[in-house]
Amino acid sequence: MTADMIVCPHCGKENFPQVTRCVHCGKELEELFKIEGVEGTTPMPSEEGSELPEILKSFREEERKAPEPTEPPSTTEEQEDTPALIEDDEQSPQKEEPEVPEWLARIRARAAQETDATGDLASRAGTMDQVQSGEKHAEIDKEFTSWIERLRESKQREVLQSARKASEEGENAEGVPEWLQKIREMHPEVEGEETQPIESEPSEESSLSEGAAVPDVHESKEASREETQPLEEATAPTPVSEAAQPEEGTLAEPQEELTEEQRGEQLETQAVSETKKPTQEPKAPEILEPIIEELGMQPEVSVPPEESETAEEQSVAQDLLLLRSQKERAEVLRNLIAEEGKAFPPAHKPKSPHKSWYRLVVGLFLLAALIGTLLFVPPPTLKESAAPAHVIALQEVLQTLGSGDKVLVVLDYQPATSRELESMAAPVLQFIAERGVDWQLLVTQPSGLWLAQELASTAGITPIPEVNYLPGGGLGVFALAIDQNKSLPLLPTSLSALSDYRAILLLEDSGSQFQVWMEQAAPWLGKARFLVLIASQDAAVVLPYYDSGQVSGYAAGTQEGALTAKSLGQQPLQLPHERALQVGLITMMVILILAMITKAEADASERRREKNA
Amino acid sequence: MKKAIPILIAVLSGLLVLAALIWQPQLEGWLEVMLNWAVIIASMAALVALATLLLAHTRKIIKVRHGFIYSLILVVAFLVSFAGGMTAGVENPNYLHWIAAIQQPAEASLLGLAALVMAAASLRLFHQRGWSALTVSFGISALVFLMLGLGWLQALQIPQLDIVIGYLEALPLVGMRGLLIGMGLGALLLGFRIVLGLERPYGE
Repeated sequence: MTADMIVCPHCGKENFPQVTRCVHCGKELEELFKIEGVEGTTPMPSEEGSELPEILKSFREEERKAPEPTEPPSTTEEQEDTPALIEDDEQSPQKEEPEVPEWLARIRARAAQETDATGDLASRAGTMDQVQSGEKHAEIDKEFTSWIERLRESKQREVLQSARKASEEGENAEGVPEWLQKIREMHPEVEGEETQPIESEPSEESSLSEGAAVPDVHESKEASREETQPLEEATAPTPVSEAAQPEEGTLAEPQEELTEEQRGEQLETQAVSETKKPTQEPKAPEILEPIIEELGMQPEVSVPPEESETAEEQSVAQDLLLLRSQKERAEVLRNLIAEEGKAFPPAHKPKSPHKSWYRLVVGLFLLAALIGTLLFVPPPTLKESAAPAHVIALQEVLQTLGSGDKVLVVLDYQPATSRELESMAAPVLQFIAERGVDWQLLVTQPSGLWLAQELASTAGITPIPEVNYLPGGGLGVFALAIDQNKSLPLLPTSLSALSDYRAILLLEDSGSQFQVWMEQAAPWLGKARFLVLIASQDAAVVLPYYDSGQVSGYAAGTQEGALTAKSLGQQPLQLPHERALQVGLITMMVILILAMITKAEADASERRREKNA
Repeated sequence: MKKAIPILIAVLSGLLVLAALIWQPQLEGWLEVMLNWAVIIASMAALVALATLLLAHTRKIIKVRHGFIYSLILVVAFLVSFAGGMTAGVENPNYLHWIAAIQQPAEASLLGLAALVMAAASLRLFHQRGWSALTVSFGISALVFLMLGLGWLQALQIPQLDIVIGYLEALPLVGMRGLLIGMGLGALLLGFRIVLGLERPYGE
C-alpha cells in the first residue's frame, strides 16, 4: 500500500498517487508528476535555444540550474532507486566525462531503470559520450527540431490518409505491423524492392531524398508510440554487437514493465516478424542511416572502426528516441492530471442470466396480501381497559375541569400533521365546550390561524373563538411565561398570564417544540398544568416529562386519541385517512421484506455463479 | 473591546435569567426590559433576513442565473401572499382558506415523499451494505414496529403477547430518555461555557 503512495516534497508525508495537492501541507505535488525538463522551465537566452523545441530548452535550462542548491524534487520511485542509479552513474564513464550534459545523464539514468525499449537503448549509449561535443550538441538539437517538424507533418498526413488506413486494416489482420504499413505507405517504391538498400536513396545534397528517408524513421517511431512492440522492433537493431541480427537480441530481453497482455501481443508480433524477417529486419537500421550520416558522427575509439560509426549513429538516434518517449510520457501524465477528480464511468455489470421469476411471484403475493388486508381485515377494535397510564391521567385531569375554569389551547403543529392532531383534539374540545370551560386558542405559527378555524369546525364548535397569535417562537413562549403583569406590548392582549390558567393543552407534532414549552415556560409556572396531545412519532419525548411530573397527562397518536375520546364519553373521530395510514405502514413492510428477499436472491445467484466458474 | 462587548452582553443576559429564576419578583422588571430588547432585535433580524432573501432572489432573476425560475416562483408567491394579507387581512376566512389550500397539500406531499425516500433507502441498504448486524437489526426492528403501529397484534388481546408488546414499546422510550439526558447535560455545559465567555455562538 505504501509503495503506491507518493511522498510530498514539502512536508515528506505520504499521499495517494492520484492527488495533485498534498493533503497534509496543502502544497502542490505537481512537481512529482513532472518529467524532468518538460514543464516549468524558461528557454535559454542563447540564439540557438530560440530555435529549439520546448523540451530541449527545458532540458538545457535544468542543466543550467543543476549546480544550484534547489534541485527539483523527485518521485518516490526515483528516491527509492536513486542509490542504485548513482552507483551506476559513478561506474559508467559518462559521469566522468565533463562534456556529458546533466539532462542527458538523467534521461539515461531513467531509461536504465525502465527496462523497456528506451532503457535498452540507453544502456548501450556509451558511444554517445564521444559524440557529444559542442558542435554535435547543436547538430542533435537541430536534428531533433527537424524531427519534431516531421512528426507534425506526418500527423497531418495520417489524417489525410485515414481513409486509406481503413482499407489497410485488412492487411493488419494479416499480421503486418502498423509501423511497417506506414513505411510502405510512405515509400511504395521501397515496398516493391525490399532487398534494395535504402541508404542509397538519401544524400546530403538532396534535401528531397532526406525528406523522404527521415519520415520513415519517424513513422517507425510514430508506430512505436501506439504500440510498444513496434518501437522495440524498430530500435532493436541499435546494439553494436547485434547490428547484424538486431531483432532477435532485443526481443529476447525481458520487458519488465509490460503487462501480460502487452507481452502476449509482443510474442504474437514477434512470431509474425520472424515469418517476415527478410523484409522487416533490414528496415530499421537502414532507415536510421541517413540521419546518422547527416549528423557526421565520429567513430568510437574503443570500438572497431568499421562498427563504431554505425554505433554512434544509432546512439544519436536512440537519444532522440529517448527524448521523444519522455515527451510522450509527459503528455500522458498531463492527461492523467487533467482527468483527476472526474468520475470513472460505472463498471458494466453483466446481468445474471438466471431469470428470477419468483421475485415477481413474491411481489404479487405481497401485493395481494396488502389488498386483501385492506379489504377484508377490520380496523382494530379499541379496548378501554388497555389504555395506558398517561391516557388515564389525561382523562382524569380533563374530567376535573368545570365551568369557569380557564384553559389555554395551544396549536403548535404544521398543516401536514393537522389530520392526525385534529382527530385527537376535536373530541377533547367538544368535551371542554360541553363542560362550559372558558377556553382560549393560541397559535405559535402563522399557519395556525387557519388551522384553528379548521379544528373548531371539525369539532363542530360555533362560534369559533378568537385566535391569538404568539410571535417570536421560543422567545415568545419565554416572554409569555414570565410576563405576569401583561406589560410586554408584543404579546396578545386578550390572553391572561399563563399562571392564571387551570390547564394548558398543547397540541404538538414536534418533540423539539414541545421541549421549548417545557424548558422556557414550565419552570416559571411552578405547578404542573400541562396536558399534551402529540403525534405518535414524538410520544417517546413526552414520557420522561410525564414521569417527572412536569406533564399531567398526554395522549400520542390516533389510537390513544380515540381511547381518550371514549373515556371522555365522546365519539372518536373517524377519519378517511385511517386506511391510508395502514396502507402506508403495510407498504413499508412489503418494501422491507422485498429488499431482504432480493438481497438473499442476489447472494444466492452470486454463489451459484462462483460455483459454476 | 470589539470582542469584549458581545461577551459582556451574553454573560450578563445569562446571569440575569438565572438570577431571575431565583429572585423572580425582584428581577422581573429587568427581565422584561431585556426581553423587550430581545424581541425588537429579533424582529429586526427577521426583517433583514426577509429583505436579504428577496434581494438575493431578485438579483438571480434579473441576471437570469441557473434556476432563476424557482426564484421567480418564490418572489411572486411572496408578493401575492403579502398583498392578499395586507388587503384582505390575515384573519380573513377566504384568505386563510386560500393559503390552506396551497400549504396543506404541499406539506402533506412532502411528508409522503419523505416516506418514499425512506422506503427506497431501505431497499438500497440491504443491497449496498449486505448482511451485517446493523442492517439485520434495522430490518427486524423496522418490521416489528411497523407491525405494532398497525395495532393488529394489540387487538388480539393475548395477555402474554401484550406483555411482550409492552416491553417492545418501552424500548424507544428508554432510548429517547437516554438522548434527553445527554441533551440536557450538553445544554447545561454549553450554558456554562457561554456564561463564562468560553463559548461564543454569536461569532467572534
